[in-house]
Amino acid sequence: MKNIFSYIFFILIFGCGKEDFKRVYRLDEFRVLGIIANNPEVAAGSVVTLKPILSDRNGGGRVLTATVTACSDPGINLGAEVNCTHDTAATTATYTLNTATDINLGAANLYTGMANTSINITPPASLVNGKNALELYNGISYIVIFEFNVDGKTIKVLKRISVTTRATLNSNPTVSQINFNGAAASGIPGEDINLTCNGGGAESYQAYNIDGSLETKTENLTVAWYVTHGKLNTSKTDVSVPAKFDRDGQSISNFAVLCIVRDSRGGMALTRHVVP
Amino acid sequence: MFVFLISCLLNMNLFAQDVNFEGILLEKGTKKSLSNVNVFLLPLKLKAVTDSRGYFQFDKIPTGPHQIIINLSGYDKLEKNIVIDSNVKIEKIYLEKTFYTTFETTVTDKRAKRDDVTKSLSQDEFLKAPGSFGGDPVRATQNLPGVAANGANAQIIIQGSSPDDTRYLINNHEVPQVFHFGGISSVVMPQAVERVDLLPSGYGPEYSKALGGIIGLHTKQPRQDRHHGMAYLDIFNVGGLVEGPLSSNSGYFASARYSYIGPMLAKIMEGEEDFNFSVAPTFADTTLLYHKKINDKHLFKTTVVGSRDEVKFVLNKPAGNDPSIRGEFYNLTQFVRIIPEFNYEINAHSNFINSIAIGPNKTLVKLNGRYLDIESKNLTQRTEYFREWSVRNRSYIGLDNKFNWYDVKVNLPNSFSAGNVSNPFSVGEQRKFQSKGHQEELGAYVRHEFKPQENSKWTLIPNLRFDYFTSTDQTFVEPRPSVRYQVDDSLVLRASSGLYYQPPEPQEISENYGNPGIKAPHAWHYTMGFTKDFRKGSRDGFVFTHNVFYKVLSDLIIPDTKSNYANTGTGKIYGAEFQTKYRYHDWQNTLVYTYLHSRRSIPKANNFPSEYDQTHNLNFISGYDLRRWTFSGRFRYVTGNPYTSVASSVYDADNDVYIPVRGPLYSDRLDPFMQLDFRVDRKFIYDTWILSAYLDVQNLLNRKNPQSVNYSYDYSQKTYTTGLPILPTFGIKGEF
Repeated sequence: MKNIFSYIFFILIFGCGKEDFKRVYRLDEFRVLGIIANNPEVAAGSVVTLKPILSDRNGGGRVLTATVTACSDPGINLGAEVNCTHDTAATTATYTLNTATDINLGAANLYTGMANTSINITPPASLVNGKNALELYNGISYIVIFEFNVDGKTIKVLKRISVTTRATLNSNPTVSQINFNGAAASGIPGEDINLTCNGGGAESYQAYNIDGSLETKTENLTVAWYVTHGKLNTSKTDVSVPAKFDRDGQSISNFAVLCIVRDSRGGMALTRHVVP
Repeated sequence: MFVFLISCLLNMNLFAQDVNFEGILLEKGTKKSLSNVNVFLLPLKLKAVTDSRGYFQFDKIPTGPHQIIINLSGYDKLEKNIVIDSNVKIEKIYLEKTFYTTFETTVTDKRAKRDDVTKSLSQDEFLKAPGSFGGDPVRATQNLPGVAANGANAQIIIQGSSPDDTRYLINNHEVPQVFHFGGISSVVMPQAVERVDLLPSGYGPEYSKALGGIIGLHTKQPRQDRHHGMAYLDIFNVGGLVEGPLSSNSGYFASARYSYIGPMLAKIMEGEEDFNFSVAPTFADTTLLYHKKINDKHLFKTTVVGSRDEVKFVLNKPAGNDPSIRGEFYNLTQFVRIIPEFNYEINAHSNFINSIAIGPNKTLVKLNGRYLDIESKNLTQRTEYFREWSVRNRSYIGLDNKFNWYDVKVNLPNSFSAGNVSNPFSVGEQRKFQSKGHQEELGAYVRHEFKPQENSKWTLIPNLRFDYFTSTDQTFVEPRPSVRYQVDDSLVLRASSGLYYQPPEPQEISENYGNPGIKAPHAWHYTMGFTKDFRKGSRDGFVFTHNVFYKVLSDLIIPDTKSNYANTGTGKIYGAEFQTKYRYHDWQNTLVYTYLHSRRSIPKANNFPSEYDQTHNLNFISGYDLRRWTFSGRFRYVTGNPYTSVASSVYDADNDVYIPVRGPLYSDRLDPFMQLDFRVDRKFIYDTWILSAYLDVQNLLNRKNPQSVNYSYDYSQKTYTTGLPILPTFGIKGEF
């Protein structure tokens, strides 16, 4: 237990605000920012459609290919490595995306957003074999690993699909628009602008604790912010808390800001404001 | 003419009166009575001797100018002109010592160093140790052979073992923490501590449950000559103490400290957008001592230690590698221990001691809705019977038990870590539960010292320890044999070995968080060495100590992807220590060098350096006493700690964090640690009190010693976090 505290204290004292590091909220190189499942929680044997949220601002519109491997979770939350070498029933497919022609991306969107190109994954019915009722109710994790090779780098992305016996399944949160100082975003923001987005749809659900007690919980929606230019005072907030944008002395001719809302149960939603 | 002569005689009788001249001789600054001291009165060439109260008297001394002469070894010679008149008064005379040792203590426990592997620091040694933040006894142990600090914090590494493998004791009873957070200060007022003991590998059967070693603080006996007090102020905290007699056979000591570094930090960081303190980090502690000599055979004493640390802040900006680390953070850690002890001298050859320690612990950590809340009530009990059967045989038989009642509430994800690289919090599985129960750790021991013949140079010590842990339901028989060979008065050879078991940490064996099936890890220790004293009875000269040690670690508990934890780790630690002390008049030097290798193996990685593998550890400490000034310095060189590089990362799209992909465990190494510290102390001696001031400059060369590796949010960039820059600390202290 004292190791947890040491880890937190260590991160706090030594892990904050290193000015020399690239900023998590800045979109420069190719990045995957999330993967939206049409249904983040499903029954075994159901088909799930996945669409990546990505930014390839400096890619100039190109074809990106990823190897997609899906398998049972090896125990990542217990420290297992993120791969599918343990599962003989793992499946492999190829995902191909053209950022220039995808209707949700393209130059008009600075090649940034949720791709319309999708891939379907079906967690096998055998996933639930040998699991107890508590595990089935809380959800068995089926992982999908996207592996892109872009600009000489390998970018590996993990997405979980929860397979459950729960009657009421988790759905994605909602988000409508980005606001600058409370008003709908318009144009390129100026100095000291408060960014907010209208995230919502927090659901109540039940889950078993490790001691077998059933607890009713409410989703805590969080927002991740990304910008192509300027500076933010924070990259992550609660849905009702603004992030402050600063131009940081930059002359900006085109601009994009993204708000990704997550419900901490695999559900997510995206809204963006782009000035091409 | 005749009338004139008669009147002159009468006048002479009137003006040249004889009076009794009384005085009291006291030590300047401390007001300590000086007894059995010769006091000379000139020009009459008379001598008086002070009694036990320092009182002296000269009878029928003519009034007028005189001179007092006192020449006492260890004190400045006094030649004082006085005018004796007919006014009745007691003249107070203050004699100044050549050197002052603040709050002198004497070792009262005759059997204090029964264990040959023990290394000790007296109060005088640790109060003036350079780089000890004003005399902290636990920090000062870093100057001993085989001891290192764990980077930025002050947790102690003993001979390459994890800081978790070190147990901290106060008067032989375990306490949950010995440092206030940050490692700036230990939880006991240094002036309450008579000595600090380090028991590294091969320690005897009296203690257990520590694969690395033991650090024990022993409180002093309160002074009973009169009431004393002290108040001090330095850049971290303020404190004070009082002590003195309660009766002719009892005394008390009471101290309290409070840190204000937190409010200072909060003021400095006011207006900081990313971070603000709601409750500034503060710590406070108190130490109370009570001694009563009931009669010649019975002694009773009680020690009370209380400690509290608290901090609360709001992190507006999340940590780069773990965005879930944000929001409101709160930590409270506190404990109290009441330690009564009863000592019965049965006769000249046997003795009985019984003590308990009782008190609560509380640890509360809250972060953005998650929490860890641990409350426990603790009772430890120690009993020892000593019997000297003959000149050749003596035994110590004892019990060492611990009882703990706990109530734990947890709402935290399990946090996986390997190679000291942790996965982000949000990747772990959220665990929420409450657990109540009790645990016992029962122990018994026998130490027997045996000489084959009465004047034999050999002493054979076939020690044995028994332990039972209810947490793992295991019983252990732990042999701890040792041997001593006294070549002559200046040279002693020693060797010891032993088997040591340590109970798992609570989270490791928790049904909801760990693995209830794991067993206690253990280690075999082997050590041998010698001490050679070249001084031939003199105070000056060399004392040389050398030890070699070898430890085999088994069933080490490591994280496991299937069962949370498993006993699949092993290790080996071996090395050598050298210590040379040299004293020449008022100049003292100590050179300490430790060479060691600390290796570990786990199922997927064989024989890699442990996190505590510091191949070379060199300490050179030099000090010079110049009457009211003391100068000291320390130079340290330590091989850089191994660390695990992160080779790449995987983006967790659900939690918006990057999971590190670790390279070979501990295959890289930080640059060496080098630091030069300097300290100067000055005393101002007044008749009835002493003012002391010190300046302690750590890292005089302002070297940027790398302490750890820091990564960008996706682990693609790295930099090194360095330790403290040049840090002057100063303080003033008044004592009476």
